[in-house]
Amino acid sequence: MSRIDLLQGTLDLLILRTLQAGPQHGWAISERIQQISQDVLQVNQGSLYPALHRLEHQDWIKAEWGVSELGRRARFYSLTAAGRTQLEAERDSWARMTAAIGRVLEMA
Amino acid sequence: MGMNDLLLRIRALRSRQRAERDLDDELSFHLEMEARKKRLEGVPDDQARRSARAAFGGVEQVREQCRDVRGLGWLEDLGRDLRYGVRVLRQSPAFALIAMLSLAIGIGANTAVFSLVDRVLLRNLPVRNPEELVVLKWSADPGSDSISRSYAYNDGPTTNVFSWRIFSEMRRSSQAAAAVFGFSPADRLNVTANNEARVTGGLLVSGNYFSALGVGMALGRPLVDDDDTVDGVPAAVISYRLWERAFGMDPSVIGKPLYINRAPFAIVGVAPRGFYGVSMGGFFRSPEIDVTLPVRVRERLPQDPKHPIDWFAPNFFSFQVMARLKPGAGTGAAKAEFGAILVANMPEEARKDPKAGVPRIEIESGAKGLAFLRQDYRDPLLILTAVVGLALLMTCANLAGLLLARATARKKEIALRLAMGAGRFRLVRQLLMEGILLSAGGALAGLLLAAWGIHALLSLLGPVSNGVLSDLTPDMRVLAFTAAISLLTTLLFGLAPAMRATRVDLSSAMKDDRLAAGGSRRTGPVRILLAVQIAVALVLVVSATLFTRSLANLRAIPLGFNPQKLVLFGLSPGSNGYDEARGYQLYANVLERLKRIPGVTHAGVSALTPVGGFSSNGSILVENGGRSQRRRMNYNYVGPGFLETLQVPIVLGRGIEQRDMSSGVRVAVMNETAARRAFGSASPLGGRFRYSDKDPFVEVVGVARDSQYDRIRNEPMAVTFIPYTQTEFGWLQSMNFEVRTASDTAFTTAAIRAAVHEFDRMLPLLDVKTMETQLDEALAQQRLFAALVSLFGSITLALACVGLYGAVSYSVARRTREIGVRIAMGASRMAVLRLILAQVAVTTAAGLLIGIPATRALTRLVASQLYGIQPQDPLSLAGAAVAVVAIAMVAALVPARRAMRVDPVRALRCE
Repeated sequence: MSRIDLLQGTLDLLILRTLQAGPQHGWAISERIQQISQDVLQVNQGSLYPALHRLEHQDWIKAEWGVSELGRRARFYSLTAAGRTQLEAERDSWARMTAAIGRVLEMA
Repeated sequence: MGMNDLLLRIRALRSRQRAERDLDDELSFHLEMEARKKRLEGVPDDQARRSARAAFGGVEQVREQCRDVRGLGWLEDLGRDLRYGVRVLRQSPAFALIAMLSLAIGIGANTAVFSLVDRVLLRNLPVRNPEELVVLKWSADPGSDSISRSYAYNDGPTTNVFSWRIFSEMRRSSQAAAAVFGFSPADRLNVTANNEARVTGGLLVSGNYFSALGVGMALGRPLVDDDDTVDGVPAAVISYRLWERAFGMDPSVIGKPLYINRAPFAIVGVAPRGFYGVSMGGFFRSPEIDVTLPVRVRERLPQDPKHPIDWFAPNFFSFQVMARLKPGAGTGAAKAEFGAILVANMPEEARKDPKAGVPRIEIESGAKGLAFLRQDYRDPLLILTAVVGLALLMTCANLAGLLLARATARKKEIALRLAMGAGRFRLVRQLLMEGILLSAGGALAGLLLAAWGIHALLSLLGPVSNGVLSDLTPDMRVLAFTAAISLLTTLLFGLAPAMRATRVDLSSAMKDDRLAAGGSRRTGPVRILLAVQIAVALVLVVSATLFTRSLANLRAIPLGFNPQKLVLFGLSPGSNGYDEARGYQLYANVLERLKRIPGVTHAGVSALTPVGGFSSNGSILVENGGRSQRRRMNYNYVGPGFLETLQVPIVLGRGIEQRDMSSGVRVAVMNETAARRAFGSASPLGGRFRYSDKDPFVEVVGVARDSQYDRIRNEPMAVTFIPYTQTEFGWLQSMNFEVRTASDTAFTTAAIRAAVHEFDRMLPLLDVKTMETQLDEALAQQRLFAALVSLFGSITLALACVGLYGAVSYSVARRTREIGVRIAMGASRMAVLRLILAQVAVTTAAGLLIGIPATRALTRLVASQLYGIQPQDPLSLAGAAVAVVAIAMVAALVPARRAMRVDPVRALRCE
């Protein structure tokens, strides 16, 4: 199966959406994106952590140290209220964009 | 960035180490989870770890990006770079020390010279809005007979003096100017303050002088218009310096008396520190201004009753005029207005004379005050600036070379870090940080050196330097300059090596490059820098040779008198109101009294003191076989025993003696050149001359050996010595004394002061110094140039040698294996030596190729400062070139010999 590298800017959206299900640590976020997309979307792990730190800095997610499923200290990220709003906004614009692109591809 | 954000960042900075640990934990957790997943898929442990890492990409890069996101990456990096820089420099303390020392010398010298340049050439007067001030001048064309020429101090048609009437009219009616003020220097005043007499410069000013300049007083009040009247209280403002020196900064000085040329004044104010009037420290050859007086007191100061001057007559031009223009007003309106006033108030005779021309006003900026000091110092200061600038440039080139070599040596480390994902910008910054540390250390040490350097400069300049410069210490402007040049220096010597070092081809750099041939491509920049250094060294060595030979030429000129153990001083009884009879009595009494001082062997008195800078000349009519011939002649008016005191030998006849002083028989002694000029080969003894057809004849009674006159010259001057009582123009109101002593000159000087004090407590001694000091002063500028240029020439040459030595050592080390191969293949050791030296020769030749034309162009600029030697002197150029080449070769020879001794077996086995 061929994998698609994430489009610029879509990583943030996917992270926010993934965290809607509840707090997760970084590795789990990347695993989940890969799983749900049935391994089509490949998260470049090198850009995952800078993205997480950026989102945290923008106050859309917050981080807490917790204990992982295997009993190891891990950093868990969760959505903030601002993050939820941002997710809705980005989801909205994503939907409009894909719809628009779809229309162009159909009609043009 | 908001306040909260800032607080957050600061807090984050404090918990930086924790954040860093957290990041490490987070990333290693990820890698562990990834590896675990692979293991579960059946991959063996170590392979799982490796592929987890591979999937992740550059850990270092991610870490960097996360730090950048947190927003304090750069601050952290800075601290890290700083510590890293310190660590790297501490690993090579010798390099760091040499680099900082050479930077300290370069930056220190530039700071010291800039302090002088700033004070003399750049800085505005310390007054309110100095840019509004203008200096008024005028000229009248056309032709050589124009009226303005007769008032001009120099040869041009432009003059800066106005009559009292013109000035008063300008002050009264000007619309364009906010204020018009006038002044007139009184160059030497005998000032008695606190019972101690001294000679100071004085300035006579209009009553609005201080208010127009906007200068407040340190103490008391400024002069005002009410002081500027004949009947007003005679008020005086003294300088801060005089307040310090004569009154010990006594706050009760206001109202105390001050005797100026014996006339009483009351001190009303003390001018602020650092204010020396509008002329930036005195007028040509006069002492600094220590007293400022209302202009009308001209009429109170004693005058020569035989030649009274009407200072305020419409045809007497002696007032200099400055104006403060209204804010925003151009000079155009002022020029028209002042021009009309000038024309309308010219003296009667000038308005009638058709040849006098039409006077026109000229307006110059007065922000920096008058230009005397600036004109005197401009060329020497520019030359000094060029010399120290070149030296600093040289230091930069040298350090750039050293850093480049170091960076090349660290190429592997740098390549490794680039491969690990370190940003190039980060690396450049880190390398630059080393440079910043070096120049910061250099700048700090340089400031200390500068403070000392300013003292050294001023003492080398000697008494030529002025009061304005005496309180010269590095201030904020100078500190800013130092900071700016250190930053510039850092960029100059640091940036290029850093950029170059980080531009590495990763794959080839990681490999061992020892086998790579020592191609010139890689060492190219280092060698260009070395060539530049050799060029700069050549320029400075040639200049040093020129200045040193020029000074030697001046020193080699025979003086014709004995300068040792000779104390000089002057007296000016005329200013204190003495008349001819009392004045001459004083000279005779002082002379007799001086001879009784223990240790004094001879004492003389004369109008001019040898090499004192002043001359007196005219022409005489010589009686030669019934015909009279006009001859140019220089004079000195002397007392009995003057020539004997100076030990100028009398070759024929006799000297001027006591009997000539009161006798009606007019006599003269000529020097050999004067005698030859007047009488040719005939014997001058008994020969006669006179000043004009109406004057009585003067008989030549002796011939003296030639000796130096007003300044040190190669060609002898024709000088005639005449008893000072027999001048053709009235009495000499001030005279110089020469005292030959067998004991200590300092002791004799003190005894002289006490002796003169016995006669008149209000008569100060002028220009007290030894003849040796006077000679040093005459050569002060040449000594300064010779000393400084030699110093920097040597430093530059030494730096070039260090650079060359380093470059050759490095090249030999890098080519050890190649040399080993060559020797193994049968190359002789001499061939190896030739190989290394040829490389140096090419670099040196390139340096000379740049240096020789640069030298020829630059030395032309110092032509006016040279004596008895041409700036293009081929011998100096050739000598310096040979010296530079020889020293370069010696510097290269040491590492080159190491190359010769390379053991091929060991060279090939190593690695």
